[in-house]
Amino acid sequence: MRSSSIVVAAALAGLGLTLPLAAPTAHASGPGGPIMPVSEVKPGMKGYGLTVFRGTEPERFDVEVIDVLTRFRPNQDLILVKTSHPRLEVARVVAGMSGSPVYLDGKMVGAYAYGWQFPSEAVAGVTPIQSMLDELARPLPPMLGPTPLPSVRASAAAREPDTQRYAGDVGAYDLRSHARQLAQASPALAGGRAVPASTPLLLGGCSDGTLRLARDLFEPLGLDPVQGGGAGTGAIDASARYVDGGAIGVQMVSGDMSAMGTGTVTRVQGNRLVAFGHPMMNGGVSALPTAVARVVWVMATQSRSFKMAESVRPLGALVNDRPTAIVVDDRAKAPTFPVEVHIEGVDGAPHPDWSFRVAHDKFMGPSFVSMAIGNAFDTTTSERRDVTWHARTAITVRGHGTVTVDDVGVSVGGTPDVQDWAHARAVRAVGALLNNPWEDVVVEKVDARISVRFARDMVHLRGAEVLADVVDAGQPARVRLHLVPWAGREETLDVEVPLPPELAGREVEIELAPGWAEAPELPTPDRLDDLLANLPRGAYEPDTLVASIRLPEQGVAFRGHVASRLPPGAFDALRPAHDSRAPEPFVSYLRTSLPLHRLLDGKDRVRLRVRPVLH
Amino acid sequence: MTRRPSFAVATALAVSTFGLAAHAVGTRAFDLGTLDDLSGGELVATSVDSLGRVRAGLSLGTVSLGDPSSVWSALPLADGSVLLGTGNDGKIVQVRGAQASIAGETGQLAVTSLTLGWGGAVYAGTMPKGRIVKLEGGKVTTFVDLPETDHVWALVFDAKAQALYAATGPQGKLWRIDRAGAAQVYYDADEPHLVSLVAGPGGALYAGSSGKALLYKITGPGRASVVYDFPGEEVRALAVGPHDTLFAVSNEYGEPPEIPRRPAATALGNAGPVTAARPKAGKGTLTRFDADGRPERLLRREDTHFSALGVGDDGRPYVGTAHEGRVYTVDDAHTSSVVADTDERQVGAIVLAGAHKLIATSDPAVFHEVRGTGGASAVWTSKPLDAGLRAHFGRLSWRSTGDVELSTRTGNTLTPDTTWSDWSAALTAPGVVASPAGRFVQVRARFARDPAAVVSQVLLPFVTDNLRPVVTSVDAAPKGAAVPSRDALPPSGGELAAHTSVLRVSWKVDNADADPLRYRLAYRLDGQAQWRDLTRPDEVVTKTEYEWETATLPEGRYRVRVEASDDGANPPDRAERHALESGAVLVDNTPPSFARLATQGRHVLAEVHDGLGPIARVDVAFDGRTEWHPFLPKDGVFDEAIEALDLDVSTLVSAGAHLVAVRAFDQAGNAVVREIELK
Repeated sequence: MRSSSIVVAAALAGLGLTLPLAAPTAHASGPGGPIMPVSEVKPGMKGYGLTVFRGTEPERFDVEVIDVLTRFRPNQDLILVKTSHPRLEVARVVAGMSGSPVYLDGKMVGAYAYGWQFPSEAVAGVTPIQSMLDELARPLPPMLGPTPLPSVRASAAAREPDTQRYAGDVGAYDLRSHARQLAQASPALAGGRAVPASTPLLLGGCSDGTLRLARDLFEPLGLDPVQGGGAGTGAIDASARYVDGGAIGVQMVSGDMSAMGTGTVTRVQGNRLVAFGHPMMNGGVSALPTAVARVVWVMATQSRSFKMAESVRPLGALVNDRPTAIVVDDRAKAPTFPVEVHIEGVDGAPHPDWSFRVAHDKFMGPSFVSMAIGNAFDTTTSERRDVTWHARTAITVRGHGTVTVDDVGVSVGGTPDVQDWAHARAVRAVGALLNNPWEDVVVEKVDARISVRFARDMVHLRGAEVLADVVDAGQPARVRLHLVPWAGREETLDVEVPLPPELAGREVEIELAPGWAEAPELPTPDRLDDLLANLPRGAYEPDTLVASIRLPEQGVAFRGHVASRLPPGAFDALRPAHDSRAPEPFVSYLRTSLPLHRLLDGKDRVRLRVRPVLH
Repeated sequence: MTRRPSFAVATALAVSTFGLAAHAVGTRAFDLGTLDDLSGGELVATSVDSLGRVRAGLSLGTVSLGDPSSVWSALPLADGSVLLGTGNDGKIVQVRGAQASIAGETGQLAVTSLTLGWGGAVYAGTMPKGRIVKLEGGKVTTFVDLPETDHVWALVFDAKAQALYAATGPQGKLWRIDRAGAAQVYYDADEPHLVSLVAGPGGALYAGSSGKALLYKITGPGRASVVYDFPGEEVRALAVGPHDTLFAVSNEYGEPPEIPRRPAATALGNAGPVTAARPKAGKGTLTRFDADGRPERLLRREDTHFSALGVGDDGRPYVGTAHEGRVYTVDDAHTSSVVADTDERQVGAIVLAGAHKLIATSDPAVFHEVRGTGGASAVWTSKPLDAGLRAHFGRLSWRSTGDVELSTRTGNTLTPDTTWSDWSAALTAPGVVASPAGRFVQVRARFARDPAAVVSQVLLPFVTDNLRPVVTSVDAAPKGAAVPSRDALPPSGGELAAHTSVLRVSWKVDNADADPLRYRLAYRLDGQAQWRDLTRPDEVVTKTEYEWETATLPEGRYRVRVEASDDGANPPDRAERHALESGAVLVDNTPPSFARLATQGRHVLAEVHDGLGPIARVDVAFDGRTEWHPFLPKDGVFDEAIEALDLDVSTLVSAGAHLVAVRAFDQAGNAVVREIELK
């Protein structure tokens, strides 16, 4: 069934009709020619538009005004036009042509920005140019050298609300929740059905699973992930510049995988330009790498046609993402960070090392870290066999050193779904760091080393029993674990759990749990260093069993410190009544980590009594 | 404050914890005579002892320590400054004069102990990483990280043995550390924590534990004996007194409030306000051990545990409380005194011997230099005393030695504010209070003129406004029966209460000023205007119930009037009264009668008559048994004084002859029984 909802910005052009134009470049400063206000646009007026149907040169396509829709969006009209071009006779509305400038009477009137799904005719909506130029004139944080890093270096005065930041406790950072927050915060996309403008996000070097994850994460934001290939092999034309009607890409990841949001330049003014005619993610002040793009082909489909493109020359950065346009500055250089993935244990794998560069962005950063690691793992280890894996990911933060986090897993019958990586500790750590509320960080590198065994190397804790239900004070508790491997007979393993002498005379309950599921007591972070200190300690060694005994004493956690097993007087003294910025109390547990050398599944608890001993 | 014999006062409005004593009709008094009475207010450079005496106390300076929230330890230095070990950022604060500055940052949570060690360097015990740091030349360096140790609770430097001893937890170890920082376990207790440590007489070390509150005497490596097993959980502090005595502070905490298990994600979340429940204050005990180790309990507080201990130049122990930030001392006669009352919650350290005397407090962290005794600012102020109602105050009296000035102020809010009166002109001798009438009053004594003055037995008489008592309800029911509920239907069926001619009249009264009341009762037959006294003129009824014998009264419906009066506690021109009459009260002492009783087949036919009615119940029993079976009248409802009944007993008895007992009750419970033979 065809949907009546509006989709991707589109533009039309005549197939095979190449009309080289003397379009201004980013360096050719100037007003960019006259513009026509919406008030002068009348039904029946005819003109043309500019877009790239193939290669890098813009071509003309014809335009006839149907009418003007007033207040199509808040304070924004929309010009409804018919377009004609031999290629658009087939493609009708094309995602990726967002931003194609439209001229009437030789004056720029706006940019193609909106279309409808399953179109039967080539009709599109044009965002008035004045609305876009208003965004171009909007002040931005001061440029500092070649890298604006607006989210990093903005002065307090110029800083705008950080619309990309994850709203919530950094410890609870979740990539999918972050994506939902951004989707809900986007006025252009809210409600979805009304005006779902989208930008084709061309993914190259991706497995099917990676593409599914990309769709989950980016479609709610108005991006339209499509398998596009063309990771960008380098500068085909090193002299390429941005021109009105030229193709532009927002490059969010490059290297062994690429992801590029594709659109069209509307108008170049000096070193800046406006494009798209609608937002990319409505993220406000941003810092995403951009590139001059080359259109390989306009893919025509019934539901939505799109431009297949690749970058030919990285140039500038997207510095502002607004409801009517994106703003790009060709002097700016958006930060990226490298992601290296090394996979061990896959004999004969032709490509165990993967290398990416990911946009240093609060949302794109963790998104593409998850996709990069997942894609590398999925591609390298793709087998219909059980897989046990252990990923140790080192995250280097400028000025703060390197933190390492562990992810483990067992996948039955094949490689784990790439989407599982969205919840990986490594991804959550990158997200937590980039979205931390205390200070801006520069992630310098993410290095994931994944060891793989093609086995279901896990045992299930069938049960546990104490070998003696009364133990003399000072002696350890002896616990027999009943472990069930995937294949084979049930095993037993006797372990000793030390018991502190003060438990004499008490009933004791020992909780048994896998190390990967248990975390030591950690202080709630008050600053970035606290968070960095906590990240590697989010769990015990994954191949251990952790025995936890609740103690009568209590403890506190505060500003990077954990003080457990406190005497009551000290506990009282540490907790001021006059100040709610006080240490957090917690119940003290004595936790003992016992090596199992295998992953464990399941929990249990046993009870015993500690008998006082008279010396 | 003593409670004088007479009527007890506990007005609905009064919330004062003080008892109020009555001297004469309507006159009561605040009588401040105990330590708790006198120390309930504010003590500025004044002291209150357990004999009810107020005198000049420690005069304290105040230096706020800023960021730290707690003080754990104090160390006076030879240069006149004082080092304070603080939490919760592990800073060592130096106070010099009125200036506090950071002398060192340990990077730990708290600096729990400070001592001078080798070469005059300062050694600080910290938590929670079991680290001892050295502060020398303004620089903090790690001296030793004690293995298997989280918390260093106390340090003692033994210059003779050239050793630093550290009492620690949670393994309950006492460490001996040499100058190079090499640590050896000196004693390993079964307790989780050794929280206090002192070098005692004869070279022994004394350590107090947390867990079972044991006091250890440690005479050598691995050699220890338990000197005393205190009740409670903790021996918080130890100090050596004169004549080889040892003072020990022990605390009882009870079970702490349950703390919910902290989710792991909390550790990565954003910090926010902490509002978890706080444990209640514990109970503190100060015990003295003589040179032979014999214990003697000197002081106990049920309202707070103790958090600090020091011995003064006078050889007396001074203990700091963990609640309301007070410092107590006690003498050999067990007379205890509050010598300092700070605005902070806890006392963290006390140094009252030597050249530099101080009290350091926590929550918030404040340094109080002890400037001397008394002074111009020495003022004792009582807590706001609540008269319950607006009161006129009489002659303020006290006993004193030396010159003191007393004054008062009054108001109508529990907490003094701008609506209160100004302090009255000072009285140098007992005199009439000049403050205006008010519900609350405070008394203040200044000791500026005579630092040696002593005040005791402060007495402030007052008379409150007299409020009218109001009788809010009057009920009557047969004695032994419950007063029927006004809000619910009476029970359906069931046995009736046995008849009694005694009615219990009860009433409720709203007596806002709680003065003694006397009640007078009267009755009248419903429909008549004449009230007749139920109580005799000389009969004084003070309870809110009265038993009324109605056997001699004509039957009928009556009303009872209850009058409440406070004329027994107020002069005639101030006495107030109020009366309220009851609803109709049935007086019926005559049982109903059977006008007809006959059988017809297996039916018993009856007609029952009563004087006032209505008939309330008719039931039957057979053949002398006591199992009664109720029946309804012919018209289905017992609602009249004459009821006809047709009792079909065919389902209750077998064929043949039976003796049937038929019983009838009226509304007042009067009953009649007749028998008839069923053939």
